[in-house]
Amino acid sequence: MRSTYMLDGPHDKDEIIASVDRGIIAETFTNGQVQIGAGDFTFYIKNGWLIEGGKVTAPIKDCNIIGNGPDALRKVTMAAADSKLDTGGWTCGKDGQGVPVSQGLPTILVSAMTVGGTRG
Amino acid sequence: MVDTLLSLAGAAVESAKAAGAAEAWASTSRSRQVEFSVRDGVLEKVSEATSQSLSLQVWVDGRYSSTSSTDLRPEELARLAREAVELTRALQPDPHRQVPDPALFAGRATVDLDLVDPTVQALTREQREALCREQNEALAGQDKVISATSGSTDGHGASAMVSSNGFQGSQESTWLWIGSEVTLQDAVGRPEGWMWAGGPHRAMVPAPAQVAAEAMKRARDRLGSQKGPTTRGLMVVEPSAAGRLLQSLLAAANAGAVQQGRSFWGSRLGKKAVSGKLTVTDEPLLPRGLASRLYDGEGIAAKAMPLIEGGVFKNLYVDTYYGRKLGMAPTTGGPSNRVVKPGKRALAAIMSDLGEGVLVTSWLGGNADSTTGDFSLGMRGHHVTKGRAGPPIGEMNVTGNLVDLFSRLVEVGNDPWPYSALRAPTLVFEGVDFSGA
Repeated sequence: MRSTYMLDGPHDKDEIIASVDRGIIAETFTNGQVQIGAGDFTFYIKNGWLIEGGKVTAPIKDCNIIGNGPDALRKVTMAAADSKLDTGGWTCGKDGQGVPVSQGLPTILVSAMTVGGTRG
Repeated sequence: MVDTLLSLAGAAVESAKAAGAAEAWASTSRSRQVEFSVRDGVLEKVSEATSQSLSLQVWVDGRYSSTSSTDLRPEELARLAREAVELTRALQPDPHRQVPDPALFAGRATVDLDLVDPTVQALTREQREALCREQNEALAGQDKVISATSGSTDGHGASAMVSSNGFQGSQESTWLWIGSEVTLQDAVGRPEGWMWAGGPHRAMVPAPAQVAAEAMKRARDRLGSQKGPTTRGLMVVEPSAAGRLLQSLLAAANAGAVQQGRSFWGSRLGKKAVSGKLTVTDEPLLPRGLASRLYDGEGIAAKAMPLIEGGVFKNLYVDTYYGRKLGMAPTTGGPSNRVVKPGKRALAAIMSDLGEGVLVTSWLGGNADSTTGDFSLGMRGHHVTKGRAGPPIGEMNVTGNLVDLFSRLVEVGNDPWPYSALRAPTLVFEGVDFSGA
């Protein structure tokens, strides 16, 4: 892995938000973990937003999302034309060896994801 | 080894005082670690590393600093001490930073912690390789196995501390751990299982075949895993996974976080905060304990300390610095072994009359906020119906607040996980929110 990014898509961010009846915007992740063999991943959303009826209605925090990598990629149904490389320096590695890598993404919509939350 | 470390620490303290430090504190350590690993029947890794270091804290004109070095030659340590004292004079004074009061050193226990096993020190290359191969033979090439790695890691280390105000102490320990991880081919995906076990003594290490069997069982238990449901109900957490929850609950129990207003223990100290079934004690003096010690990093004589007693948040980890800031007596700056007061039954008996619930066997990622206690964790496990664990489920989150969760603790097992300094038993919670399909 060197520099891995998803190209621009044909939509725009407002259009993506407006298309969501009930969902979340994942804005800031603090940590995550991937089980490479099974393909399961989780990421911890420190803060984000709730979308209801196509509108941003409330801030959300401290929820874990969990999914399966190949499955989640198949569920990307919309992508905006705002692809950006992350400004942080990242490392990919194994067995104590690491190489610097970078990655990027446009705003995307994943049609289904398990989000940790509490009732009410 | 210990005598050399003591004399190096003593010399560093003398150098610092000669250079003008009012007080000084030196800690030295040296350790050797050997690792072997066999993957799919082939010896893949043989590594040996010896490391040593000295850290020197100095108090100069009301200022404090800490430096360290791995170069322990006398002339280099003398130079380190001189430069540390000089540089410290450029820092801001901090009236809360003072050398620990020698009254705290008094009453050090004289119990033998039994942390050194000569048979570990005497391990041969052949024995280490055999510990790996005996595990790996039970795994590599078995049905559905893509790859299996088995390893052993052992070592011997010592540390010493000397202070200008009368502290002197040393500790020595050995350790041996063996473990395996195995990856299986499922219809879709490749579930993994792993198991590591060990301790200061060779006798604490289970037979290699047993460790391998547990790794294989954990992997096979994940075959055919499906996405679990969104539901609310009983959560049973098995001992090897229960530690993660307790760790999150206890992580905020330190004076530094309370002083900064970043701990959910702050407003609850001395009050009943969680289920009366939970009692957790910090126990530094356990013979053969994984984190046993006679004194802590500030020389404070180690003794048992209740953290949670019948659901009451009893004590924080208070070092001398934050103790001074909060006006609290120091207890100890950080954890040693943690022991949970046991209940009456182990996991199997607990499950047998559970009815309906979810058994958590492992977590995946997630986090907790130590200021509020909010948490959200990914989990893997099994649906439990009529007391029996069903097929594996995963891709679920458990979300809530740690104080609320531990208020819903309805049973504590009597089956603590021995391969962690935090010896967690089975924990059962009611009314837990699971997010899944």
